[in-house]
Amino acid sequence: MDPILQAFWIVIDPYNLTVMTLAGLFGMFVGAMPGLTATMATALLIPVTFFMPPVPAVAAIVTATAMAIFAGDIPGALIRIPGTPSSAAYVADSYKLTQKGQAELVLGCCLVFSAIGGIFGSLALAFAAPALAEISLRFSSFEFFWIAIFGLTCAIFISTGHPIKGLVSVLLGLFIATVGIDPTAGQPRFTMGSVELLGGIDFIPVMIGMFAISELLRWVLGTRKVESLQTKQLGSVFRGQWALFLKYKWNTLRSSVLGVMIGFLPGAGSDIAAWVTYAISKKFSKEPEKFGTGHIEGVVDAGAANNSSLSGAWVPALVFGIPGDSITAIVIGVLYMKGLNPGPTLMLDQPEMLYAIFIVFMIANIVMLPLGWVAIKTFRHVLKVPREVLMPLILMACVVGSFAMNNTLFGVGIMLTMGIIAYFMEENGFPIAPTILGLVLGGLVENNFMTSMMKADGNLLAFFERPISAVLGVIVIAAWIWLIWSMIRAKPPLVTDEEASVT
Amino acid sequence: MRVADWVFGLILLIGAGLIFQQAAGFADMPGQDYGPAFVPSLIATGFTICGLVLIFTGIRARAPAFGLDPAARAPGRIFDALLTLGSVVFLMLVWDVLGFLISSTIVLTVLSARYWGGKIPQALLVGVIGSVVIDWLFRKLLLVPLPLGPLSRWMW
Repeated sequence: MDPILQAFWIVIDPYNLTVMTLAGLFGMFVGAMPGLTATMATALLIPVTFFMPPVPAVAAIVTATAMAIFAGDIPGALIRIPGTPSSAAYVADSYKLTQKGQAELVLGCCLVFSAIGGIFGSLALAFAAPALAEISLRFSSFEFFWIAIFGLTCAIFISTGHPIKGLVSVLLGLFIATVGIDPTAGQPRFTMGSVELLGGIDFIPVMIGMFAISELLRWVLGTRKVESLQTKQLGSVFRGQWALFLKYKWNTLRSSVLGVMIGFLPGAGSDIAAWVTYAISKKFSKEPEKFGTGHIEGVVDAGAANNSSLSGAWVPALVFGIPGDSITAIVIGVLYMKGLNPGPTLMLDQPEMLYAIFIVFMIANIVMLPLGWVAIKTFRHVLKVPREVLMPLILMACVVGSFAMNNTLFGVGIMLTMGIIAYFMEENGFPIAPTILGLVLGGLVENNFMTSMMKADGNLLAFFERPISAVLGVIVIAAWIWLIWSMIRAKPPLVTDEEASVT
Repeated sequence: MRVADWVFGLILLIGAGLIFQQAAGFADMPGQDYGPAFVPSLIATGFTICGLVLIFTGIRARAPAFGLDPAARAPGRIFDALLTLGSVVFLMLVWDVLGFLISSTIVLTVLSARYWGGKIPQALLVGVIGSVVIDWLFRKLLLVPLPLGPLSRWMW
């Protein structure tokens, strides 16, 4: 049977569709709840997806994250608290529009342009991934080594204002990846005599700890303010969106393309996409003075970009096995667990799986419209769920999720330790996403380096002898020179600490 | 909680030292320049450089070693954080003895009662219902072998 048709059958399976709907509702809830992020939604979903077949597992993550990124706009517009960091860029505008009595317009705009951005991103993914996979089939360990290093480099200087702190974060992830039996010589490393550490540190408890436990700690130590909703009953959110689309069709296209490209860069996720496109929108706008005072243009741009970047991040994940952001870093782990080894051979061995993922993306972004409408209408009730009850339940879900990976309490210990470390890191300006990238890519970097050195008999110059490898190598070195130069010159960062910490 | 950069730098230097010390004991790969110690040593070198930079910038910034955010200084916040972390340790200690349902009910009730400002009956309700739902979802639906503890006589 034709792989596309086969993929279609896999996706429209009632089990898969039920999983997608439930994951969508879950994503909406997490996204709309201030303080809970899309990455946290993914972290909490993993233990559940562990027990599902591959496509529903991926579908659950795709749907939940797409919904969470949109739903983060709702509290941003209505109570001035972005539900996820990806909505922080335009929260000033969207809230001021609500104050001007245009809550329906701005919420509809967030929903419709999120869906447009998401659908554009899905199309880009469907076309770019197979084309890139063709090229990457020619890659050897030399090229994969450089791509992984490039991923780590991007993670260092895109996601934070302090490159040194980003570097520490990446190194921590790389270090955690070295724990366990060494892949080439079979030497146990940093196991401290523990049998469980011999198998290495599983990244899922690490991730649950870093993204969920640290978040919980921040809530416990924070102000715990109870937000109240001032807006009265909302009318139709779809009215006026077509006119908006016609007016800003070029903005939408530009930001969707940029979103995909930023998502593609390892280490830069939807939050960076939103900040960058908002800034670009302001720069090229005919009315830049209106930005920040309740102007819809920036909302259109950044709203489309943060959703399109979600799909963009999947391109390097599926083609090279290199994650574009922390969510796809988690996804790569899930794909491996499911026997779908991400990389160019996925297209050859299981094309129907790849097509199924593209179709899932498309459906998730279309389903976003009705589900998003429900989320907007029921937001009032979501806000009423007491955080005092939700937080202990999340803690328990984290404990059980970490236990469920290997059915041992070892995972729970790892989760707790990493949660505390991540809390201190984030509070002091160390980004945590690079740690996850380092952990996921650590084994890949070391394996490819060792294989290459065995092939080249220890000659380091072999990394520059193949054409693609040489180009990638030069790009990485240039990026490092630029990084060091900018540190010496102390240039202002792309995203400042204050901006990055708005959640 | 704010921690000064130089404290992080110091921790990194100590960590790097420990990695170097461990890596020195790793076996070499016969006929290869790069063995199991290579990547850990590179990481430790990175930690050393970052550690020195952080110590330098940290000392220049003259920040106190530790500091609390205003929100965390509110009465009871530190206790809450310790209680939250302690509850995970408690769960790990009694996991097999009490089983999931009992230990989870205790933790959920105590935590929600504490966060909620002492609404004990409601917290107990959260504890019981939350534990039963999580147990059903993971043990029955996803077949995770959550321990039953003393309840294993009545449930299976």
